[in-house]
This record gives sequence, structure tokens and C-alpha cells, in this order.
Amino acid sequence: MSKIIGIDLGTTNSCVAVMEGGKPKVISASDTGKNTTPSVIEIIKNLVGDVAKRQMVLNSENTISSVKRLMGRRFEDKEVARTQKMVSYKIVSGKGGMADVEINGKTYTPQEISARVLMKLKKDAEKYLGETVDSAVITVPAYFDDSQRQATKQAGEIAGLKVERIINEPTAAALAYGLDKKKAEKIAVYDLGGGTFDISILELGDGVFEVKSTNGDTHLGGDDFDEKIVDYIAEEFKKENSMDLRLDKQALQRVRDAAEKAKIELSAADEVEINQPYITQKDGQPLHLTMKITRSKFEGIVADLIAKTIKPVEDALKDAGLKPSDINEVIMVGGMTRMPKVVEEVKKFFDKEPNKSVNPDEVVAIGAAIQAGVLAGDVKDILLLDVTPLTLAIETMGGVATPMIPRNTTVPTSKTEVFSTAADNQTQVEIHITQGERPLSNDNKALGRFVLDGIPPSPRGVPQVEVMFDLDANGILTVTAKDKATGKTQNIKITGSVGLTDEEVKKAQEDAEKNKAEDGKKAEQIKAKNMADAMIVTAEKSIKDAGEKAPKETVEKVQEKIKNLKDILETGTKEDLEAKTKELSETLSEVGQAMYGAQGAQPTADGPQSTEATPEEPAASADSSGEPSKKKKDDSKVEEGEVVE
Amino acid sequence: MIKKVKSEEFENMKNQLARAMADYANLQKRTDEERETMFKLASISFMTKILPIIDNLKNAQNHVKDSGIAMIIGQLETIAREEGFEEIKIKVGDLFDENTSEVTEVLETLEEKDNNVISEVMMSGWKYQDGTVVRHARVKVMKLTLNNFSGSDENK
Repeated sequence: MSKIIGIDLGTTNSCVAVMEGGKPKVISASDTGKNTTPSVIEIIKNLVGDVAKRQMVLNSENTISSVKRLMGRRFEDKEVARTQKMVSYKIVSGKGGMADVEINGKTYTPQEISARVLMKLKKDAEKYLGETVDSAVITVPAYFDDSQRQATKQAGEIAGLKVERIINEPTAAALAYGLDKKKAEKIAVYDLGGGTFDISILELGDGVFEVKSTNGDTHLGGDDFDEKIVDYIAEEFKKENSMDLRLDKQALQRVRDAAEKAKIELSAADEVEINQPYITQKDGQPLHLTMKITRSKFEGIVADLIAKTIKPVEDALKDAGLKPSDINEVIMVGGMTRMPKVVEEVKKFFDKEPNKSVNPDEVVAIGAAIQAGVLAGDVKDILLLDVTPLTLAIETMGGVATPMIPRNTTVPTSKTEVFSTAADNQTQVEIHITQGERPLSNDNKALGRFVLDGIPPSPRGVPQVEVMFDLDANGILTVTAKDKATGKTQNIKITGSVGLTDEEVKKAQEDAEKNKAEDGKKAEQIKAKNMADAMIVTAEKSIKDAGEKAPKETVEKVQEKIKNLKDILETGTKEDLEAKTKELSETLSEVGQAMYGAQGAQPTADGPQSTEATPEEPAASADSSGEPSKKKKDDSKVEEGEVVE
Repeated sequence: MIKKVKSEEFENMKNQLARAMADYANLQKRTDEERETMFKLASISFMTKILPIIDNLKNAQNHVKDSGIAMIIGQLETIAREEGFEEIKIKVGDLFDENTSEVTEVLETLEEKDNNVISEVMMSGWKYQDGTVVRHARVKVMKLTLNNFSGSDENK
């Protein structure tokens, strides 16, 4: 069965979302990559969205915006008359006295026009999903009457969508916040969009939302806020330069852009600087627009607009017979609710922190998608996937817990990694499996251990032991170790590695947090020790290889340094170990230098530096690991060597 | 009885598994695609922030006509080209195309041949190498007036 999409068919912008893998996903427009599409339609050339908006000024009489204001309304409706004043296309009385739109002598119903937007959203969804979509859930304002809902449904059908359900926008928002899962609640949805303001009071009972009351202002929104800032900027500029930027269309466009940007930035910053050089000219001299707007200034400019939203909220509450304190949850919808001052005012009114974590432009479409998911059976039937609460690790050289499956990994999962030996001629490795967040194995919970033996004797780092962790959906962990040379395999099955009680998980996590600093130090210490150990092996090997070629005094010097380092290997501090390791490494490079000198090769001017470094550095890692491909692994991931012999 | 429930449950599980696997396969495909577009989007996003500065430099250049600034503009435009961006070729006299341009002003004309023709490019448009428009040009467009009164006042 194909997916059901959720559509927020808005006055200024529309948005589409779908349930995917049990989660709602907003689909971005294929042409612009944006998550919302302007509800603007050019009917002759059939342009929808941003592309229609771009040619709107030129084709204002053929380009339709705000058609939602006409949906299911009669021509005599006051709202229709008001809409006619703000749009350039012609609204006429159509069949049955309903408001229709006349373009080029042909009449279109608002349903047909809205259908164009729905068709585009449908197409975007199909492109994203890679399958056809034939049904949808569409949202409408809570105050829409039956005729308006009917019209919306028809629009869907014209667009080739079976409208599974029409739901209220505030209900969709509440669904997006998962409020349907709570006990009986009274919810206020504050929706301040691009061109309209709606407040709805909902009551949830038995999993069903009932709209108790609605109110709002059909001509108040983000566009008014923009206009206010543009006016402010233009007035300030005029004061200074006695030029009105609003009269110069090019300049006005730039001011509009800057104003919108400033509005958005002021939601996060306390102050923005508007810089528009060469905005206009006066007496042949260029004029620049530079201005600072603080957030408090901006809030002052639009204070009356925000204040205008409060009266409808009071009225809605009164109609619902409620007091502000009766409301359990407040939800913010619409782009303008990103403005901190709006949130603050709403919070002040209800004395309650509003829900605003879901993107306010998308929250309605997301709710519609969730409703669609419920209808399709997606949501109910979702297979609950478990995650492993703690990291599963393997102990490596120096007792370090090397993570194999990090915590919060969704199960079932498996992970394979290749380890090697830590000592020469080591014929067996011990696989020690631990669970927990601490960096050292001893501090974590031991889950089990086993030994893989029969590894052919070879220098440290050469054998390859493949370790696989496989965690199934029931939390059963199977760890398999395989020697790649002999194919010998050993495994262990551990049950209940996921099934910890909440307290156990919490404790383990807290432990890790508490001991983070100390554990870090310990791990560093071990790392330093491992480095020192590797360096000793390298140095001993180098001396052996060099044999007679190296000058005796240099060899002695190296041997002394090796001894120094060996002495403190178990007891030294991290700093000491590092210092002594460095000393050894430096002395060792003299061996290399001496050897090249002995060969009689006359190094070029920059030769000594490079040769000095090369024999030493790679040797340190290549020798200890024997596998050139995994340089980084050598120090940290070589399997523990304590069980040798 | 027990057996029946089990087989129902089994069917359910099978269905869920198929669904989950399909969802996952699709997600993987999409992740690959998204990774590719991510790179493109990042560079487009950066470019859109740089474009106004190029515009401003050009404005400055129109005013001061300094050879040094001309070089800087050249350098910036070279970098833009190297990164796969190019200016959309739109000139006065072209027919307006909403795919590449945005109308910011309409001038009336009495000449039918001038209908929908660009009379001034106010801001240049830019596109990415794959054709994606990074910034739409802003243009003034002429429109045929059927009324008889003569021309517009702000035209000249």
C-alpha cells in the first residue's frame, strides 16, 4: 500500500510530510530544496511556489495568492471583499454565489487553484519517496466551517489525492508534540504565521481532541512585522539623508531583504548591523545604509503587533470558559513564534513555558503525517527497536576497554575488527568482553572471557585475530574470535547483555561521568606505557639489525636509554614515560644517521634531516605491529599480551 | 488455537520486517544521494553569502573606477568560476524568464514587441554548474499597456 502524506495547506506557505521508519519527515521541494512552498499559483503557465512568486509583480492579475481566504466562502462574505482589496486578481461570484477567481475571462474555483499547490506537493512527495502517492491528510484552520472543509477536500480530489481525513491545524500541532498520549489535557495553540494569527483552545479526552474555542486575526502575521522594520529603517535613513528609500524600488528591495534577515537574526542575536553600501545616490554621491538595530529596539517597533495577539487569546479562553491557569500545555506554531518576545509574552500570559521544540513552520505538516501514519497503520504497528544501553568492549593491551559496539546502537547489530598480539611468539590471546562506559576494562562489568590458542609463533603484531561481536534483537551477544592464519575459531554466547534494569544502566553511566577525569588520566598513562613499550622493542630491533655498522658508543648510549625506560615502565608517571621515550627515540635516530654515514653515502644539504626522521618513525610503528596498514592501531588495539606462554 | 495466533503473529512480523528492510534500503539510497547534494549545498550556501559582496564591490567600482578594485573583482569572479559558479547571461532586451529571474519592477510600454522584455538588470543572477540557480537575477520588465495614456513617468 502506498504511503499517506500529511499536508499543511497554508494561506502563505504550504508544507508536506510523511511517516518514514516510524518518524515524520518533512519533504523539501524538488525545485528549491526548501521545506515549505509558497502558496502562490500562476494559472496560465501553471507555475506553483517560488517560481510563481518571482513573476508575480509582472503577472499580478494572473497570479493567485492567499486563495485559502476564499475557500468555501460566498462572494458576499466580508472576508472575500477584504481579500479582493489586497490581491490583484479578480474575484467573481460563481456557481451558487460562491467566490471564484476570474483569469483571462475564465473562472476558476478556489478548489481548482488550491489543487495546483496540492499537486505540486504530491509530486515532490512522489519524487522523494520514489513511489506514487494517492492519499493524504490535509489540515484546515479549526474555525473552518463545513463548506470550507468540503472545499478543501474537493481540492485534494482534484489533485488526485484521496483525502483520508481533514484535521484541524491545532490538532495536528498537538499530535506533533505527542500530546494525544497524555491524560485529559487543555491545550492552547498559538499560531502566528506569515499572514494570519489563530488561537485555538483544545481539550483532549479519550484520545480525541475537541476544539473548545477559536479566535484570531485573519490579517496579522510575519509580513506585518517585516513591513514595520522596513518602515523603521527607511525613516531612520530619511532623517539622516533626507531621502526616502521606499521610493526607489531597487533600494526598497534591498531594504526588504535586509529587514527580513535582521528579523531572523534578532531571534538569536541581541544586535544586528545592517550594511548595504551604495544603496542609492544623492547629488551624484553614493549613499550607504548602515544601521544597528538592537533586539529591544526591534521589540519596541513591533510591540503593538504582539499586543494585538493577546486580546484574541483572552477571548478564546473566555469562550472556552477557562482561565489561563487551566491550560496544561501551550504550543507555538508559525514562523513568527521564533521571536523570543512573542514566546515571552505568551509565557507571561499563561504563566507556562510554551512547547516550541518542533520547527514551527513544519509542526502542522508533521502532525498531519502522524495522523496519516495512524490511518495507514504505520504508527501503531511500529516494531520497537531496542538499543544497547551500555558500550560493549574488548580488553586490549594495558587493560584498555576498546569499544566494539558503542552504547545507543540500535540492535540487532554486529561489528568485526582485527586485532593482533602484543608480544613475540604469543600463541594465544584472551578475549575479555566488558560492558560499561569506563575506559579501563577493570572498571567495567565483565561479561565473559575465553582464550583462542594455537596461534603460530610469530613476532608481535603479525598474527591477525578477527573478533566479531554479534548482538541480536533479544540482547544475546555472541563473540567469535578467529585466527586468520589457521582458521581456528572460538566463541562465547552471553545472554542478557541488553537486559539491564534502568537503575543498573543509570549507575553505570553515572560512574563513567563521575570518573571521567581520573579514567582519562589512567588511560593516558597506559597509552604512554604502550608507546614506551613499543619504542623499546623498536630500539632493540634496530640495534640488532644495525649490528657492527653502528658505532659502539652510540649503541651503548641507546642501550642505556632502553634500560632507563625499562626501569620506569611500570612505575613512571605519564610525563616521565613520554620524556624517556622521546629521549630514546632521539638517541635511536643517531644510530640511523651513523649507519648512513658508515655506508659512505654523502647526504645532500637537506638529506640528514629527512633520513634522520624516516628510519626511526615508521620503524617504531611498523615493527611493533607488523601490519603496515594499521599504524594507529598498534598502540591502542593490540590484544593483551599477558597470557603469553 | 495457539497455532493460529502464532501464524498470525508470524505474518505480522514478516510484514513488519519487509517494511523495515524496504525503509532501510530506501534510506541508504537516499543517504548516498544526500551526501552528494550536501557538498553542493554547502558551497551554494557559502556562495550566496559572497555574492552581495561582489555586487557591492562592483557598485564601489562604478563609483571610484579603481584598477585595484577591478583586479579584486576579477579574482573573486575567478574563484567563483573555479568553484563551479557562473553568472547567468541575462541582458536588456531578453525575454523575461521566471526560472532565472525575479521581477521587481514593471514598466509600461506601448510597443507590443517590448511586452515581457527586460529593460534593466538590477542584480545579476548566478547559477551552479549543474544548472541550479543560486541567486535569481532581479530585473525590470516592460509590459504592454492597452490603455491609451502615454508611457510611464518613471521610465526615463
